[in-house]
Amino acid sequence: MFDLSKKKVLIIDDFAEFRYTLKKMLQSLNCDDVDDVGDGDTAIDRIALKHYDIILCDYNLGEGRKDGQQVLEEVKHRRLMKYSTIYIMVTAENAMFMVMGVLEYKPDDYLTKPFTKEILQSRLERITEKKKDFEEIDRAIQRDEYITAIQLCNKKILDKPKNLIEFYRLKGELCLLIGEYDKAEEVFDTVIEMRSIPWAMLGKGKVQFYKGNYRVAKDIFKSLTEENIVLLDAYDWLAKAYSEMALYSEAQNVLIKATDYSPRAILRQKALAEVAFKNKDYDMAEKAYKSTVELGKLSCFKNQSDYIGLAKVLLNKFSHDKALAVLKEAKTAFSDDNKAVLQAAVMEGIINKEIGRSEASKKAIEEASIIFSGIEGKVDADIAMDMARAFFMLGDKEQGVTIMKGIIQNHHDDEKVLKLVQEVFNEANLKIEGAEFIASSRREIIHINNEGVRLVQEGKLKEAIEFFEKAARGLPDNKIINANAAQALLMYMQKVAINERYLFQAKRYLDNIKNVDPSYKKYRNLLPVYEKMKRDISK
Amino acid sequence: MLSKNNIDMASIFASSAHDIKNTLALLLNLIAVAIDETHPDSKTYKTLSLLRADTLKVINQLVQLLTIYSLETSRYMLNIAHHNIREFMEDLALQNKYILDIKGISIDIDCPEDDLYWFFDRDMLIILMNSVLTNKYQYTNGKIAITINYDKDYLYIQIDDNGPGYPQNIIEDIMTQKPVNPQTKSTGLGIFFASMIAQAHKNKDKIGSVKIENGGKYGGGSFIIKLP
Repeated sequence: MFDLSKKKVLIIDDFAEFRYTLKKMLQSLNCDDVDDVGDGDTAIDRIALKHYDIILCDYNLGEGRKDGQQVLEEVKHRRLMKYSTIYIMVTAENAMFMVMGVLEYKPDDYLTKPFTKEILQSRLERITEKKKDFEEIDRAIQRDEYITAIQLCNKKILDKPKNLIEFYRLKGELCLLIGEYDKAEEVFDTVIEMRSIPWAMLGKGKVQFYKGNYRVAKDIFKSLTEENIVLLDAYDWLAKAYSEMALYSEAQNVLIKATDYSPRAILRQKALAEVAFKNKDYDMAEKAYKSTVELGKLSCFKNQSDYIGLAKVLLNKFSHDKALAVLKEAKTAFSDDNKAVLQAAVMEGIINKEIGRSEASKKAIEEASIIFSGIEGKVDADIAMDMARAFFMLGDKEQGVTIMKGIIQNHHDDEKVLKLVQEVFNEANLKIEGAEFIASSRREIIHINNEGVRLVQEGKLKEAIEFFEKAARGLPDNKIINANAAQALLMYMQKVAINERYLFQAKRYLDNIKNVDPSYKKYRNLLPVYEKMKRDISK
Repeated sequence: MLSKNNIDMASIFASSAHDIKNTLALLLNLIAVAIDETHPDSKTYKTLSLLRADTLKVINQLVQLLTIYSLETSRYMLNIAHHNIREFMEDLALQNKYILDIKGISIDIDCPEDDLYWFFDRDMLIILMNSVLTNKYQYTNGKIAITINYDKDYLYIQIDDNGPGYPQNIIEDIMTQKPVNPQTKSTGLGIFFASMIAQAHKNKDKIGSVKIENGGKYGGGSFIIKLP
């Protein structure tokens, strides 16, 4: 039988009696190193300090407190737990609402109360065995070596192992992650051929979505939600597909239904808030943003944009003072986060300007522009656009245009972003000037890129590396520049020698592309080259 | 204000049953603690073991009720995954160990292959099997056999006992496809429930089902579950 005598166990349950009996159960299995806590926050603190082999966490930890899923998300998000740690979610009822969640944030297993010690022991034994099966692949994933992980999956699948279907699932998800959509579809189809399992259908829908076939994707997601009323992931994706098709009110309706089933899912509330805002349904947007902010207090997925979004809604409802109060709250909640303070300050500037408090407005924008100059280039396009908008409003055209240039060059081949940029120019009554400016900024970046490519072609790799390093600075979203920067480094290492520093640099460029568009062909060609070098150097 | 029209009795029952079940779960754990502190030869040990077996039985019945409720209100989504049949059956026997021990019933599991896998909802099938077994405990004379078979399309789970067999009228009702009336006795409810879960398992055009007959391995009652 599975030996528990040397295992360190943590029990998380809000009921003292249950903790007591579970502790006794473990003791009767010769397990003596057992800690128990009554709430999620204490649990997270404990996990941060001590390594546990097994964590048994109740899902429901009381009203207004973190639940077992939020605890799991936070310890995984903050990487507090070793891979080998077994995390079991204990539930009072069937786990159906939870089982479909994101693979990354799933517990190792669910146990329904009541369970006997024999069941606990046998479950632990099987999970340990299973984790061993996946260990090698998981390590590769943790090192961000996706191609290696996929190859390991392939090897496993050939052996027809115990958890064959799980390996297919993992492979499918990995292929989606690095933009190998055809391969992902092949995997999902193989599974569907055996059995039309919801996650496989969902995967197929995602493939279509990423390929831009929104209508096909929509049909798949729609029929999934019809067949499985509580398959909430399918609702999320259905809403995404509707949004891409600009059918925002359909998207909103889908998300209203899904949040009814899962009022505590923060990211879903946020999605609802955003789409309601697009629909100009400000009451709904306000309600959903408020839930998001509230849930954020218990979740590692809280974000300053929850507050900023709420402030924007309130601004649109002409509740200026309330909006300013929300921004103040945001500044306190995220006081050590530059980006958050920046966003809040920009919004403060805009709102104060609107209600005629020009002094306060000026002050806020000045604060914002100091922060902005410090972190320029690391700011998302939508934040930067708000920033530019604020400067235009204040009549500081020059500052506004400088920021807009950064956005254009970061996204010089992304029509969607450029369209938004043009809209900001239009709002500022700079329609024609703006259009010309977009064109010239694009030409400039294309010229820079060509210059760098020429250096590569002439074999001046060292120079090319330096050139692209300069060019890529402040352009994390420009996939072409980042790809060429990575390529220069990899080519140099192929020719001369592999070194840690260049590998690290190359990874940063590759990660930048992965965040923007993992299906970018050049990225998919470079990734295997990078991973091979990484393997060679660690040998 | 509660008015007569908007009281949903079913949901009140369900939420009460849920609370009772949780309390019993705690009780069960406390009984286990007490048993561990008692000498196996003592009379108290025997009494506590009986208490544990019956508590477990009540919990199983409540779980069955709650499952019917969630299936009926379509709040349940089947969680179909690939499971190893032998491991599943071993878990089932472990879960029922205390009842089997105290009642002196043996379960014989016959699975054709160790690495036989099938697609089904683990939690649902456990509840279904528990419901069938609970029924068998009442009628068996000490022996239960679970026999697994499969073909291209279906998995067959046959649960036999060495009791007197099912009453003829119930078998006929099932054979003639007459809708089973869940209000008639516990066997009726059990079968109603079992076919509900079996039918929730679908694969393309194939659908799960259950049937009962007399005979089987020991000449007693035989319950057969067919899963696509």
